[in-house]
Amino acid sequence: MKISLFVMLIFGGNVFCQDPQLPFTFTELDLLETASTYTTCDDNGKPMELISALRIDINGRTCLDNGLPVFLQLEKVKEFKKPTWYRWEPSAKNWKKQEVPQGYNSMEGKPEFNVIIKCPGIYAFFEPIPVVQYKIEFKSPKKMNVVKYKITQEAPFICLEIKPKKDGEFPKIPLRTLKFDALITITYLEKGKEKSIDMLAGALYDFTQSAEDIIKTLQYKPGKTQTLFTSNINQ
Amino acid sequence: MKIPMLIIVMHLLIGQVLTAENLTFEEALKSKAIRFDVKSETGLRRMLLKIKNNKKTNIQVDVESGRFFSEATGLYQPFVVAKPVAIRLAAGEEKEVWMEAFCGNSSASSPKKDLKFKGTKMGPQLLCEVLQEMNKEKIVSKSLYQKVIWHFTNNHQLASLYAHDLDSNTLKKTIQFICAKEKSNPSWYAIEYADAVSGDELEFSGIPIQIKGTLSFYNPERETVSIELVRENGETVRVIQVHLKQPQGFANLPIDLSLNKIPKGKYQVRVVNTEGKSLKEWPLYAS
Repeated sequence: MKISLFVMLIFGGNVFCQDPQLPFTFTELDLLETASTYTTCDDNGKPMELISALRIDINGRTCLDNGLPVFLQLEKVKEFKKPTWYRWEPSAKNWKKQEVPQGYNSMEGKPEFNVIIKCPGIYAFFEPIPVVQYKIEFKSPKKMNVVKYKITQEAPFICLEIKPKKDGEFPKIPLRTLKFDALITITYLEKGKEKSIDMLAGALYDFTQSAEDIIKTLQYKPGKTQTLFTSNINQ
Repeated sequence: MKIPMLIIVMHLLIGQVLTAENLTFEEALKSKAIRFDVKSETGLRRMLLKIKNNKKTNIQVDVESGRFFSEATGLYQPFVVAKPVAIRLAAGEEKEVWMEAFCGNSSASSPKKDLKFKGTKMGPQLLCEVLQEMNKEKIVSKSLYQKVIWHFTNNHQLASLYAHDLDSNTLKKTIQFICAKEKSNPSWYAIEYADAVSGDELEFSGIPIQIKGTLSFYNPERETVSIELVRENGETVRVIQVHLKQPQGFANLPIDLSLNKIPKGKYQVRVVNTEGKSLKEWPLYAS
């Protein structure tokens, strides 16, 4: 997981137009890298699933006159219910919803969504995640001064950062479950310096327990057996 | 006795009026049965044909579709009759008839008011056949008639044959008819030109502004593809569209490309995958 992420970070996305004479360069971004770098929460902090992302750089001008039409054709009608178009706002450091993509049926009768990009930036299609009861909760091990948790998960591509509330407790996450191969990055303070450790969600499951207990409690195995987070996995 | 005689005389007179020698315009000219004068006007009706019967009998003159009427200087476009008209003339009679005609040389100016058109000849055989077919199909799109005529007189590309005021099936049928006659293939795209600065629809601006068409190709695997406009030397001029995660299989992607700031010339439209490999290419002549 770490190696594949490292490889993707090095090679990045696919650059389509490298001709410097062109008014713009379009690069398809790697999903895991994008999710990991920018997270997948909307401007209200609600998690979303990343479908596709791209970056557009414009040479010598602020914005394009005509814009670049971008299409997303789905293979199945129910593949995604409501793809939504977002632009990364560097100053606010969040994804901002753009105009609703124009949806219609392609010539093959498949659902298709169409947007026009005029200005440079990072854009992405996201699928809103249905609102569920807040199921997953992180509990910091004692004596571990956790600054934040970060979950990065593939298929569906979701990346969330969980920071403590004012009372020091970590908010529950509105996800039903985490996949076993979801990457959890724990950033903590040790002697005034920020450090981080990565682990897979699966490593936190204590398989010595009964199935019911696994559902209820997940143990942080590498260190002390203190509850790291709880998740109702089967829901 | 008097009444039957009167009936016979009336019958003869009516018969004389009704019967008329039928001549094509060409035949009438050759036999000097007629004299004609063509004048251009402004407005919706442009070509006024004044025709006089030189004979002492009735004649009917058929003005053929595809007949050219030209002025002497060659600076102005000739009129090309689009729809045939049968003109019935009594002995010595002179008539003025408005003709449905378009222009037959896109590189010249459109006819100005009161210009005289003395010369006449039939246009190319293929043009005549196509105009006859369009008339048979009862096509009313003036825009298409004009473009078809320029296609034959000035070699305008097949892609220029489009019309906003015509249903796509009729347009397709007309283009197929032309292709069958010319033994050519229909163009995959349609090219739209800017209106002439004068605003006269019988004048050709020569400025291509828009390309519309559908790209059909096979996508071997689900991946993002871009549609690019490429010069003859392989240099990419513009990315027309991006299709994220284009599904695997046969695809029909409609494109609508503005030619703003794109120089006239020969291009290719390519579908390129993420590895830069061209999946299919189509020729495009932006001129």
